[in-house]
Amino acid sequence: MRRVFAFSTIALAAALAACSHGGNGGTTPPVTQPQSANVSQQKMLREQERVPSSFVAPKHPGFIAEMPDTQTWTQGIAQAGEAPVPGGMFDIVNQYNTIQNGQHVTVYAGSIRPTGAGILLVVRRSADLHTVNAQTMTVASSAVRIESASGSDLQLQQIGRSAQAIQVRVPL
Amino acid sequence: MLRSILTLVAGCALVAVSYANAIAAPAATTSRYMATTNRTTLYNEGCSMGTAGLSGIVILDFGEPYYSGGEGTYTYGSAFASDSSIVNAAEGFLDGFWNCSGSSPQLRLAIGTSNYGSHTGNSAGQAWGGAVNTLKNYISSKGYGSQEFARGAIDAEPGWDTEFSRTSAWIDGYNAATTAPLYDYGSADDCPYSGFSGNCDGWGQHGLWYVSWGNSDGYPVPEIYQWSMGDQWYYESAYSASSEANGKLDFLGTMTQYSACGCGSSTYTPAQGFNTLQSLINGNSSTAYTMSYSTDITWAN
Repeated sequence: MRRVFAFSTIALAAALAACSHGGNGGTTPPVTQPQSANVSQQKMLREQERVPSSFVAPKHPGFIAEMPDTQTWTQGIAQAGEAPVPGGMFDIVNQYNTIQNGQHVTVYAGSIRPTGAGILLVVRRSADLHTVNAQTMTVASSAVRIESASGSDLQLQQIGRSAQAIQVRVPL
Repeated sequence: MLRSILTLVAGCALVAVSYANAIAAPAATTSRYMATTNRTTLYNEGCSMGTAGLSGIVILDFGEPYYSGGEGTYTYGSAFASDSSIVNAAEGFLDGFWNCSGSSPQLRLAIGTSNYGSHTGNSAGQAWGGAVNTLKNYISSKGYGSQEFARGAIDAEPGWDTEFSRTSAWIDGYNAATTAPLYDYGSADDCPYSGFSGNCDGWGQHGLWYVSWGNSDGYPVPEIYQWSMGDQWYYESAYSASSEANGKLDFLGTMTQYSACGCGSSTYTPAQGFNTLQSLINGNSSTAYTMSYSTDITWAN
């Protein structure tokens, strides 16, 4: 009887230990927690600190009429420029900007992961920037760079072993 | 007795599953890839959020660091924007939210940049921290402090700086300039997850920890566009819990790109992104944490 009780106690302890470590299917090595609770708590308290204000401003609800955007939309090919997509999805080489039918159009050239296929990412923005749509075009087996552009005709250069010139008409 | 133990084990498993699923994803806010610094446009964006009564984190991503007579960014409108023009635009968002919200909603407005490109470095980080300080002062001077917070943010992706030096210099510069929280809404590319043992594109898990949680201003709000990204951040938190001084990662929330990607079902909805990471970290007591925020990024301005 005592032996059964001892076994049960061990099994209960094991069960509780398993419970406290959650049900992760054993995909992660067991970890030991250092004395970190205070450090974390202090950091989270700092995240919630408010900026002191000596008064509370009155509210004046309502939208205001938008003025035309005076920002200059640079046109042409730019070597700089991060694409508005995760780096883990695309490797962008360069971009081409133009205005077509009143829309701001940016064509990003590069490759897509994990295949490395050459792609063009075409992002079209309405003049007021409120509406945006995009499409991806696969154009080569490896990354491409925009060499020149005229209207919707792009001259691309494939990067890599089989460096080839590619002519593409982008539906702008 | 044995049956009691089995019952306890089963109950334990049930509690673990229930806990992971019990936390409903919060309503997602809208973050934006910015193509403009028009103050009126941003005022109306803030007003829209305030009118909707939403609370949470909003990241305005102004693109990669750039220098043109002063620190700034190269925006998604293919133009240079100075840090002062970015602050001016963000102030418009703060005004709009304040005026159009009730008295309860809380806004954490983060101006975002990235570690993309050669201009990422210490001086750009310092300038970004200074810009966030200016926003903090604006909130104080305008009497918005009961509902608004100013934050910095960085889309830090290992693949954009595999040597890590430019990114760490930027982080150090930011920390030198301000104590305002810095949200890392970046990726954990090439980092380990179930069945995959990468080295975070050269950063190692320690480097990613430093960027997202190890630096004194850093807080993780990671991109979770698919399951593997959630698993990478869960593994990062498990690593931090076992190997770093400040323990597991306290994720504030998640970022998804459902509105921007145009990827259809291949990218997570905001709720899917939030629930994936929430479930993964709460499946292990060493990484358990209750997140608060969900934000989805869009191209529209």
